[in-house]
Amino acid sequence: METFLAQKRRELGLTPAQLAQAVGAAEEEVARWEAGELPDSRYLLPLAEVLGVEVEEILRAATEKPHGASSAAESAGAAPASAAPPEEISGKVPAEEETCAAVGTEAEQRAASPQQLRADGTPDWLSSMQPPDGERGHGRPRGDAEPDIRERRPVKEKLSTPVNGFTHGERVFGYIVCLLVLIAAVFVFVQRFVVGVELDQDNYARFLDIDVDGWTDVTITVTSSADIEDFSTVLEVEFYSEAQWDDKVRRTLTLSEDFLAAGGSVSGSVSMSEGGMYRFYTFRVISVGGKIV
Amino acid sequence: MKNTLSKTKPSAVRLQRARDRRLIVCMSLTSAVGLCVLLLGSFAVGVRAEDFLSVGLMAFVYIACSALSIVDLYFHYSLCRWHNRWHRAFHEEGGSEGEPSAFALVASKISGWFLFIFMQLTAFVPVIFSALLYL
Repeated sequence: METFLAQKRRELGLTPAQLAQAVGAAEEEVARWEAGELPDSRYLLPLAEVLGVEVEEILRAATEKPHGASSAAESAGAAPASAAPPEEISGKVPAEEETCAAVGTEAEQRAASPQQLRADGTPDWLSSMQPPDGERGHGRPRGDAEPDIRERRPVKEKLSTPVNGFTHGERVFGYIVCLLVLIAAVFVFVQRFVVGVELDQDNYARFLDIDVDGWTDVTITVTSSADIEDFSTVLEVEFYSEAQWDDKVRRTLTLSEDFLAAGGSVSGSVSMSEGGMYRFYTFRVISVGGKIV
Repeated sequence: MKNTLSKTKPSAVRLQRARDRRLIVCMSLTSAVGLCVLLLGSFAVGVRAEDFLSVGLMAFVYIACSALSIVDLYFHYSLCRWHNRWHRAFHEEGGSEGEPSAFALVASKISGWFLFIFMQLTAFVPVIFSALLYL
């Protein structure tokens, strides 16, 4: 079962690529038209001109899917009685009827005469339709020296093609975006898992919880929320005298662990019980080191 | 108009669809990697229990918007047609078949790409914030 457009194209000895080139459309669009899709309105006139049929025939063939052999045979002639436009239309525009009949006669002649192909494979009659230089536009066959008409289509026109999917430019853009995101992600992963995060005075509070227990015999427990390698910290614990507030005593406590797992803890004690009257006041972190893995 | 494209599938169309599928797979993988970056940036630098809700919400919004953008980019024509048909069904008595205008098609494409890129940038926000604040 062959569609009307495919049959007409084959009769004229054109390939889909040549037809696409002649009407200024993409080859995929021609494939879709031949699959039964209605061509966009801007391609109807060029298509009718190249194929030597009427626009109404293209429209009728598209709406009378699937297109059988009878319909194809009917459309092979020029403006047959059954393919004539409705009464109300043809009555209003008699001049168009004459034009259509003339086009149809031309198409008959083309179909009857053997195909004279040029060196590039396009039929000879196609070159006779070439407009003067500088007047080429949609639907006009173009010369070989002229750049591809599809490349001149503006971005807006490409994006507004009534088909699902992506254009070529979109695909390139999409791959570039994806590539940039993946490169940035690789950088983040390498930074996180290979280089790692160094624990220091500025960020330790985000990973470590420090608990203090006791007043004279003070036990300090450091709990980690992340895996830390080569953990070490130096704390300064300050005690105050019960007899005199200003009398302060400081002791340092060093805690270290080769590998402090997330949720794990390390603890140490500082005792001031021999002093008798000193009590815990505060502590501060003098230094902290390690690598979060 | 009835679409007979799926019945015939000329080679050019099949090739086009295969390329589209490859891009969609690539975009989906990129979104998955972006989600990993989002979670890594949120959790690995010491998220506390009270932050779980906000991280989960952010991940949900990220997944939803990324999926929406990919679907919108591929099915922009169908979505615009549905939109027109629904609009006609509820707001118009007569009207067209629902063919979207060129403006609607271009707008849906631009918005789809904008949303996709925006969500990919969003995935890196926790990492950047963590780096600025704690590292």
